[in-house]
Amino acid sequence: MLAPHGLRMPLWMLLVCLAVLGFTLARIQGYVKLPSKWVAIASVFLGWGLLWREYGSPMVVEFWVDLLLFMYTAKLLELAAKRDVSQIMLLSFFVAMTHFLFSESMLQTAVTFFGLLMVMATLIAIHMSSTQTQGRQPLKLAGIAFLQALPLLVILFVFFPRLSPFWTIPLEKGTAVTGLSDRLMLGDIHRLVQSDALAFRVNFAEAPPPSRDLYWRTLVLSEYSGGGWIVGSPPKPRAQAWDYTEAIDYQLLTQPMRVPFIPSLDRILSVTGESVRLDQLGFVRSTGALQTVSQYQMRSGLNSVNLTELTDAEQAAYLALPGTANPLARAYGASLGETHKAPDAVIQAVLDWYFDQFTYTLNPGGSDGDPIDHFLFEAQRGFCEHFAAGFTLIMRAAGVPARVVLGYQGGTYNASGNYIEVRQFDAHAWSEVWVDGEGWRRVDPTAVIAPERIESGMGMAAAGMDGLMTGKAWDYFQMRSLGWLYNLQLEMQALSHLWDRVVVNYDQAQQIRWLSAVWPDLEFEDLAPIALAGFLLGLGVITFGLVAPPRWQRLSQEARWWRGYRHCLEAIALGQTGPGRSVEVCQQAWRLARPAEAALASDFVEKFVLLLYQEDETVSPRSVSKALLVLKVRLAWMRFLGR
Amino acid sequence: MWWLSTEWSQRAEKFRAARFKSWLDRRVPPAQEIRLSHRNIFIVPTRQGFGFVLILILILIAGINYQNALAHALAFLMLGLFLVAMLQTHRNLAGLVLSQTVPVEGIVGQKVSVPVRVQSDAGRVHDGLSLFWPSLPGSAPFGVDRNGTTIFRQTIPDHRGWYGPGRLRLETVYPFGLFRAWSWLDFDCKILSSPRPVPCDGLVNPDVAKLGAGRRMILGGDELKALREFQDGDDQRHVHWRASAKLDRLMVKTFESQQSSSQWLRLEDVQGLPMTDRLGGLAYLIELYSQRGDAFGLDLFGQQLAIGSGNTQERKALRRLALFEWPGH
Repeated sequence: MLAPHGLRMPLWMLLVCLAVLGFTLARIQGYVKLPSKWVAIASVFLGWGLLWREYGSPMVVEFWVDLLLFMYTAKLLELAAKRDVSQIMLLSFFVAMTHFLFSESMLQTAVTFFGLLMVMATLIAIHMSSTQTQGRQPLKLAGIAFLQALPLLVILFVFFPRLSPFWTIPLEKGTAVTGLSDRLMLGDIHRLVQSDALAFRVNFAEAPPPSRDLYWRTLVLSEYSGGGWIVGSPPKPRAQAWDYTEAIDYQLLTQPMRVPFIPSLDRILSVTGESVRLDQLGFVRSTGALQTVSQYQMRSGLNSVNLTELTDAEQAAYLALPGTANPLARAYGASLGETHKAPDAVIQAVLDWYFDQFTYTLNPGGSDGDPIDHFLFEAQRGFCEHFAAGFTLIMRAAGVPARVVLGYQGGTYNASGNYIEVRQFDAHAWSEVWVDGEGWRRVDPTAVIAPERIESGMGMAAAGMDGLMTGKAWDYFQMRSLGWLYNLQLEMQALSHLWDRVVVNYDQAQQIRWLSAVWPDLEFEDLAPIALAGFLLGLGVITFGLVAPPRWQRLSQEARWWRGYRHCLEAIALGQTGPGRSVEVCQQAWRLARPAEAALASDFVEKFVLLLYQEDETVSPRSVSKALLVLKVRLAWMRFLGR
Repeated sequence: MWWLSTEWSQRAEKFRAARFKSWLDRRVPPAQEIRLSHRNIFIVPTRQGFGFVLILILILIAGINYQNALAHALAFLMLGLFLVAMLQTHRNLAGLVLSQTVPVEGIVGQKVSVPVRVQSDAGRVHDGLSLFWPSLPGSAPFGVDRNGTTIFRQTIPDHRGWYGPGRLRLETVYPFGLFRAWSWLDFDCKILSSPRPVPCDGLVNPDVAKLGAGRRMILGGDELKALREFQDGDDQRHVHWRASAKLDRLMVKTFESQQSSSQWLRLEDVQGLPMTDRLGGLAYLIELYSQRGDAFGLDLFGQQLAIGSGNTQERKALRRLALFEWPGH
């Protein structure tokens, strides 16, 4: 049960756990003796101390989980009686729960439930009398018990009312999660681009837009600060008035994120989901940290036009360039602003310059001094974040209100699951420029230099730059070139997406939505009685199966066949056939009364007589059962037609 | 204060015990053959079972708090397993047929084995069963397959006469140890227990002592009274081989008994001892005599057992001792 935690826990602890396991195995083989109880006590205190040092404070969940695991392992040191085994087995269930705090993937679930199956098998084995212990018997019995428990699990899972948390404990995931940060310092996205971690998946109600239109706006950086762009505190815009050509509905399922911002397409119109709201700038914000897989229903307007104007405060804020860093870029922007008065012309001038002089690469190299100046006038090599940061700076210097937008671009379409999957290497940065009468216009300088990045996604761009991409993301694209393996991977991802949507994300809203599809006027309060009723029903079925009266269980196969046959017959030939008649006599009577129906039964009767009275070995009991089933189905069909 | 007196609580205890016993007698009436079903099986969670529920609740709370769907699922799986464990543990007892039909005899203070036949009615395999008297716990668990099995359980009679060993407890925690199912079985089994032998070499009165000393003389010189046919339990040394050869069937010698009163083991001969010990002394002598192969008669205040010898005589005599009632009682 420790295995799933192995990769997460500190290395020293993993080693200690393995050592204890090895020691216990040696003890079972009789090489060493049980240590005194002081060893166990001392090791627990030692573990407590070490863990405290490792995590710095006891207010982190990892601390408690690892402590639990430590004591769980240390319990092996005082394993002496049956009772200790039982205690360890019970603790295993709690340990199993802690697995789910860190991962809810399908694989994790399978591993955990298999571990619990082993736990139950162990419990059976220790309670068996030694004379009857046979190899796989306990495992088989445990498997049966699991199958019997499964209906109750399903009933309760669907109907048990999902309550709101009683209290909240922060689950520190910290740096373990990769994702966008709330600032753009050159080099940030480069780290993301090397990660193949899943960011989010989207299901569209209709056909998804083409890859080049999928700009997942996540957060806006509206303040320039020294070396880069930060979120800052932009002034409040006027009441928004939007015009759009087309609305699109989609469902977003996000993985845990570092920042409380949720990606959305173009102009977000509405969003529903847990603890989520639209901010003034037209971005989706979560009110809490995104620590679990969460689902949102969204609606966006495409090709939108803003009908309002910037306020004076906004105008000032989106032109502000505090400080004196990157003087060359400022001077260049100012001169552009004087040459071309119209914003369109300024934009076009910079894009032309980019197109002529710049190279797209994921390996831009470092810089000293002013990073944006270095990029624009010396290296002239970079990727999205460089282009966007430089472009926005020049725009502001030229007197055009501009801001940087961080998010994701594109994604991979998974045909078997019909969804778009966006990974961290799809992270992207671009600019938005204010054009009067149009509003914030998206300008993506990267599209000018590396159009393939935008047209067909990161994979294609990377393929053209052999060796430039490193890390896991590179492995991911390598994998893609292996056809069937990639397809298999797609299938697995589709399955895992389904798992996330249906099982992991089954919360109160989901529950109501699903169940009200069946019962339209279902209230949340009704769930408890329904759960209880379903539970009792399931329990009743299991109980009946297990402790049914013996007359149900002891009925022989022959008697069942006979009863099945009589059941077919009874409707017509009741008068002629008494209880003691043989099959053949009944068949005769039936033939007289309804020859068409009786003909159907001839196969069954023949086989029944052959097996029972002539002990013909070529007739298997299975074929008799089959013949009876065929008879029942055909008879029912005939009677249905005759009615 | 009446509530401080322990006598009160003892009386309440006794009252409760009596109530429980009469309730149990109605619920599981004594019978030679008992079939276990929901009528006579009791079941409650074990300590581990309660621990399991506690962990289940903790997991459910954690699941709700972290809004973790799989922790919910785990809690429900545990609930399902808990109920399945209850049913399976119950099922492990249900359908068992236990019977005790063989009469058993024993001696006060000594272990006696009582055979109990255990069979499965439904033809299932049952496992992890334990059968014991509450006074003598700690027997190894056993299993029952389709053929059934016979289990021997020991008890120690604590008084002379018909000793009822009380209800046997059949118990199981199989398969998961989360539930304990048990039943109290009363087979209406009565063990005929004879008094514990008390060595009385120094206690017997001179008359009986002489018997010990003059044994050989009596055997050799006693007048042969008659011959009769051999019966089970007769001493082989008394077979009259010559007559047997002639008549072609085994004949044994019988001796004139009136002549020597010392062959009679009389209760009043064992004097100066408490009542139970006098019977114990007799039991000792009976064992002694039958080990030697000597013939003896028993005289308990006039209730007489005719002179005889061998195992049958010993058993008869011990039975007399077991059932003897003191005059005036």
